[in-house]
Amino acid sequence: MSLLKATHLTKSFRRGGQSFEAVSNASFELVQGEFAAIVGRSGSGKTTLLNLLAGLLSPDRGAVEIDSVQIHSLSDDALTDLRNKKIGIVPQGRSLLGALTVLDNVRLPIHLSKNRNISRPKAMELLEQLEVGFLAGSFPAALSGGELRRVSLARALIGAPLLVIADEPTSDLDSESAENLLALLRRLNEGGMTFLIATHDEQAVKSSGRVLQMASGVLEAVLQAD
Amino acid sequence: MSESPLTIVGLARVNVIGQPWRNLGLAALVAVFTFVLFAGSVIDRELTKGLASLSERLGADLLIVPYGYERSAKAALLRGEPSTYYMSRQVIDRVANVAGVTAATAQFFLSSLSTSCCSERVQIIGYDQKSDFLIKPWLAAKVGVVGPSEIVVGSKLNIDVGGELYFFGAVHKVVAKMEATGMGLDTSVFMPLEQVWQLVESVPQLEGKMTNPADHVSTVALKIDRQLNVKDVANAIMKDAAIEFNLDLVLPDAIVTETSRQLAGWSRLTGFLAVGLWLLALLVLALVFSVSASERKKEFGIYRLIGARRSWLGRLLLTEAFLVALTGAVVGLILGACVVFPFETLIFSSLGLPHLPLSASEIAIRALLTLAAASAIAPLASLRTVLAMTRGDAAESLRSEN
Repeated sequence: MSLLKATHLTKSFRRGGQSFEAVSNASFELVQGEFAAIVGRSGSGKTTLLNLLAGLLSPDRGAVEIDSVQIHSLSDDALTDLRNKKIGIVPQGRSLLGALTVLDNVRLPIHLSKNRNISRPKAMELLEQLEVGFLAGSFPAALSGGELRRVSLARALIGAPLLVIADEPTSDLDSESAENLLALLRRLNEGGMTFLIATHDEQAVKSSGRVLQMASGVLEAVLQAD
Repeated sequence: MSESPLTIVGLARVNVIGQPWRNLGLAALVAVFTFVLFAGSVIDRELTKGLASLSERLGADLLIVPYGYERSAKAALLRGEPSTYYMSRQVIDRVANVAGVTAATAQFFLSSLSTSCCSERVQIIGYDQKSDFLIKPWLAAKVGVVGPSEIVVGSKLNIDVGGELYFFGAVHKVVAKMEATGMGLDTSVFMPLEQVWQLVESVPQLEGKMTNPADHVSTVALKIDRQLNVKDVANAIMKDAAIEFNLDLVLPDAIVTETSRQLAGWSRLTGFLAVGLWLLALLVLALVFSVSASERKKEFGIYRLIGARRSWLGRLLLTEAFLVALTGAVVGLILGACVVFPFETLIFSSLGLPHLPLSASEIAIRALLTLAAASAIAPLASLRTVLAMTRGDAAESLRSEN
């Protein structure tokens, strides 16, 4: 069953007075329970594509369907609610709120969806699974890059989303931590969660059931992993 | 680990505390505005009440004092500044017979050396019980004839009816207390003319002691026929008696007019200051919130990423602004109360204007209005920032720091 369907997605930006297409006519589908990776050089349009798929960016043309809902035709509030309930996002770079503890950062999406009762034990469980439970009371400024990525992933997973979109989830991790993280993602994937990650990491590519190749905004090839 | 409140108010509090210096600065600005508005409005209202009281019950249309003591008479009337000046008692009969004068009553002023009630000298005023129309309107309760060694005290003297005061070695029993007048009468002591003359006779060390004090009075207050112009009657008195008795005239209505003018000046000053500070606080807060929102774009992007609606973010920003403004407003109110109430005697004596204290409910209303005006700064100042957040994609916000 198709969970994510992108059809002729196109997004342009202006740079130096010139318009260029960061994503050009991209179409593909993900079925529920799939683990797919988008690979490509820096600036190839991977992040823009992920932002379009997550509803964080509006396309110039094309459509995105998640769980049979055309997300870009939704109102801003409805799209936000859908993102909160059905999509877990791990963006590039530091993405935790500096004024909140690690535990509160992870709990916040649940509080925004008004489902507060389950947030604390579930957040602790996720942090333990990602081997950062001991950092629950710490603030993001005290965390290493790898720890930040794991906490960010825990936050993406807290709402038990149908789809997790992660932009370079292993970028700040050493090889052992990256391996552990990917193993965790695989376990969650085996439990039915769908993953779409943008990555340069070969291990991550090997973990993926399908690899989407991007170059200059164009989704060039869809490869099945070995 | 304690449960932290992931509510809008809880998050706003965390965010405000996270920027302590910036927010303290903004709160201080709101505090200054609140202080000026609250203190200014309380003082203004007390002055307005004092002026209304002065205007309502001043009693006399014309006051006659010895030449050169016009200012002293005003100071004694408005501020209760002790003064001692005299003229011949014959003035009463002379001016009472001037056409248009319907009533005349005399007073005799004497400054106490010290009293058991007061650390400073108070003004003792001898008044004629039969003809008086100046003191009676202010008496809180009806009083019969004030006998020997009995006195009436002003509302601000810290002694109750039945208490005793010592003047010049003699004990005086308090038989009545006046209502608050907002004027110098509040700190004065009143006794019959005959009694004060006797006091003067009995005190050998009295400065400027005159012979036969009973032949002297300090002021003569006149009521003038309503059909006539007070200034015309004043001119007639000047012609008939001023040179012979060396007199000066004080028009109480002119005091009211002058006081009213001074009060209007004070009201304008506090009004301009309050409006100016309100606008300044609004402008500075709006600028700081705007700059801060640009710096926090990435943070707002993260909130949107994890499922915060734009309206939720707007409420968060408004709550942050409200917390800052409310903190400043509460501090400003407390400061205003700490300055105005303990030091109001000093403030009003330096202003030299009559005043009456406000009731608790009047103060509470002013405090609430001031809080409302200070709190209104928050939503107005953050309006532009909140509206700006309704534009643009969350991804653009997320990218802003990278």
